[in-house]
Amino acid sequence: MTFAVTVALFAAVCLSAGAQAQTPAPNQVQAPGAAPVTDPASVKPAWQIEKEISSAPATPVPGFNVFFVGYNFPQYSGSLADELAPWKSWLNFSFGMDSSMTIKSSLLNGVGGDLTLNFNDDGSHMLMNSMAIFGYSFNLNPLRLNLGARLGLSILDVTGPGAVSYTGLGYILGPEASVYLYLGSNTWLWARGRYSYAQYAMLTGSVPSGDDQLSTVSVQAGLAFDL
Amino acid sequence: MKKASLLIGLSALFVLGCATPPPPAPPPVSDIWPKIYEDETYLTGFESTWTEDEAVGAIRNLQNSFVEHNANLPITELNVDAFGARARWSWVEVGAIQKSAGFIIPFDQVTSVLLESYPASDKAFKWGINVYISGGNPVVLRMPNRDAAERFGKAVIVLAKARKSPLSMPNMRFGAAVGSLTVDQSRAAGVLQSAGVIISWIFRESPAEKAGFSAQDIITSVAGKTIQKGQELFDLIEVAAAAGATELKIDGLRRTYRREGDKYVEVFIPIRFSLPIAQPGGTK
Repeated sequence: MTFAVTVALFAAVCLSAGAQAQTPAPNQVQAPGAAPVTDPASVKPAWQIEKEISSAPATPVPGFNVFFVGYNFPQYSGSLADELAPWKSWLNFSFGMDSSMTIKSSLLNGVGGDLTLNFNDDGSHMLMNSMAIFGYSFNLNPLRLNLGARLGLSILDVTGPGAVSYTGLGYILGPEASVYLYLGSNTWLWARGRYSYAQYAMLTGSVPSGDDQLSTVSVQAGLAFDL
Repeated sequence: MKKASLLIGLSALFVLGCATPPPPAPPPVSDIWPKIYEDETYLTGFESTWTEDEAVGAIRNLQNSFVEHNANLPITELNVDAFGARARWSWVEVGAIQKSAGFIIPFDQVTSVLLESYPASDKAFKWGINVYISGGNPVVLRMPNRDAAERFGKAVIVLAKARKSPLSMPNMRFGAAVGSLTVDQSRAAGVLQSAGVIISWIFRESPAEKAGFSAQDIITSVAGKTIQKGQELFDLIEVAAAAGATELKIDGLRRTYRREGDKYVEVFIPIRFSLPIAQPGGTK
């Protein structure tokens, strides 16, 4: 409860600061038709404001070309899901780069990967997806909504107790949606949801015949940084 | 579950609240207003008690003190004759070709002389004199300091007056270039075209500058009287000065911007100026 109150207070402070940043300066609030200002120095001429704006160092407008890293929460289904059930891992990461062609809403592309690792007394498990994305990025300043599809390769390797060891290489594809929120200082907060379908073409080791497909619902979140 | 939802909701609020608001878009560029120049023009009448001979001597003594404005070349030859001041400068082009150019200031055709400074210039000589000639291009010179520029200006004025030149110097009681409002300007400011004048530029060290006027200000009335031409403004100032007033209330509008969210909105703020009027002996 204390945490919730703290977060609420912090949010209120931040919202208040944002509102103050947009409050017009005192010399700019008087409407035409009001009583004359008797101190001309209190009203900055338009040409001076124009000069200040044009001579101010250009604020770098964050383009959408980011490196992202975050945590991945995968939920498996499909014929390989039972095989992977004993390898519940907390080392699940997602990383990559997303780029849109312009700062405005435009086509999206990028590369990214998911990495899942698990080491324990029974052996090790590693699942790595290496994918490219193609889609469209919507500029909803300060938010960015990306919709697209990822396509790539998936590598699965399990070294388990006894003969339960196998390695697979296959393709993975699926739709995804992500939201990026610009936090300032070239930093974004992002969240992503993806459904992916992986079929392992070359599966070697002790896997029952036909167990070669893995569907994953991934929920991911993390930070991204302008490149 | 309820607690988790609350935490997620508050976290989302926190993130949205801390998000950086986008900077406002620059105001749209409008070309209907008088252009603002980097050069600074000073208000001076170049008054002096010099005789013609002293003025001629002053010009000759400035032989090594100024350069032609655009070429930035030193004057190599400077003389005054019955017609006016003649100057020449030379340079060597590729191929060792000697070239030269010059100017003539016919004193009987000088219409105005202005003292300038060029603070933004990347050249060494940041002071200058603009000599305007009836029916010709102005002669523009740059000097290393204000004293040299003022000495040249005084000499030209003395000789121009001696040759009965049609001099038209700035109004010393106001010190600003004033013009009539255009249709676009009056429409933008929301005033009748016949109900104001607009300031093109302000002379440095002028009464207008002391009163706080700025270029692009619109003057709507002087002591309660609506004006339509610059001359009406100057006449009313003279009337006030003759009556012994030490200041004059002038109403106007200043164009500025108000920030509204993510954009600048052009507004015109009513302003009342107090123009100081110099009187012999100070106040009345």
